[in-house]
Amino acid sequence: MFIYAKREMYPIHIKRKDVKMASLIYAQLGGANGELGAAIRYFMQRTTMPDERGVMLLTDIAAEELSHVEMIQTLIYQLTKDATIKEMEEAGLACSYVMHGKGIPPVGCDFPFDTKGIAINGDWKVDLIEDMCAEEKARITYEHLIDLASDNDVKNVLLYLRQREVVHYNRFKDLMEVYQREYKN
Amino acid sequence: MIYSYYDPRYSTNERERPLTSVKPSFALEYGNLFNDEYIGYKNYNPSYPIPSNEMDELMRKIQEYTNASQDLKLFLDVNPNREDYYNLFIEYNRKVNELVREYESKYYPIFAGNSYFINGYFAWVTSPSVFNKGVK
Repeated sequence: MFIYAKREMYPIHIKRKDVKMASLIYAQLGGANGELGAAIRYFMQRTTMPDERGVMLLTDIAAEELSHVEMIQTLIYQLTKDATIKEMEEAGLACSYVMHGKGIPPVGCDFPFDTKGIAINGDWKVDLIEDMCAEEKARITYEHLIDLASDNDVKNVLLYLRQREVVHYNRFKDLMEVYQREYKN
Repeated sequence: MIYSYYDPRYSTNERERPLTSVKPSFALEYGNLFNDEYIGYKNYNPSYPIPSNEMDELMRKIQEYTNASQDLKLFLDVNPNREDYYNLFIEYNRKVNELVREYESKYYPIFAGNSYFINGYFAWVTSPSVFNKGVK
């Protein structure tokens, strides 16, 4: 089971409202390269890893990704909590307001959340390659967001999360190399 | 492939990475514990989140050691026979536990199981949520 902690990995205190930036950050919530998809992808891939090292690495990274979902939700919440309906409309969130009010739906910035991006292939080699690609796609998505961010409070959180993708990529790569040596597949 | 538990007797894979000196504060500021893993983006410099009061300062320490411990755990998942990493992992977890106890005794519960009953309320629901902390 999971034990929830009221504690984020990196503190988020956004002082300046920016609805447009929030509308883009949705990319890392329910987008194809987003944190929600990552958490589900790794958690659901676990059962076909060849041994407990892969199972636990996927479990531990999946749990961390869930905490990143919370961080992205926090970013969007703090950037939009004082937004007027007019400001949401101007930032392209009119439809979101119609459907969800001020709630934060798990969608991307371009498309709704879609399980097509959650590849479960049932083969450790294919899945780990998928996971390394997923971390790289998430890293570059964070870089695009950093390019578009103007507030240092937002940029610092995005830089932190971007580096976590680098660490996860490295661990998946380590595991891939270990398994290739040991399982010769 | 038949699923098996990891059996250290057949291990051939331990990574050679020596455990060099690491700083938990690096794990919070840069986003990773092992400084040779840091890859910057353009000319952006990561920023250590400056605490604004004593409560924040204690939380930063918890975040430093928790984040450092997370990176050691991920490394140990792949390299489970590295006792040097394990010893540091245990040391950092003990530190996290100490700091969490101090924080919870002075401020708010971080875990529901450590919550207390105060002024007629379950303290878990009186402390701010992560997304509301520091927000007016």
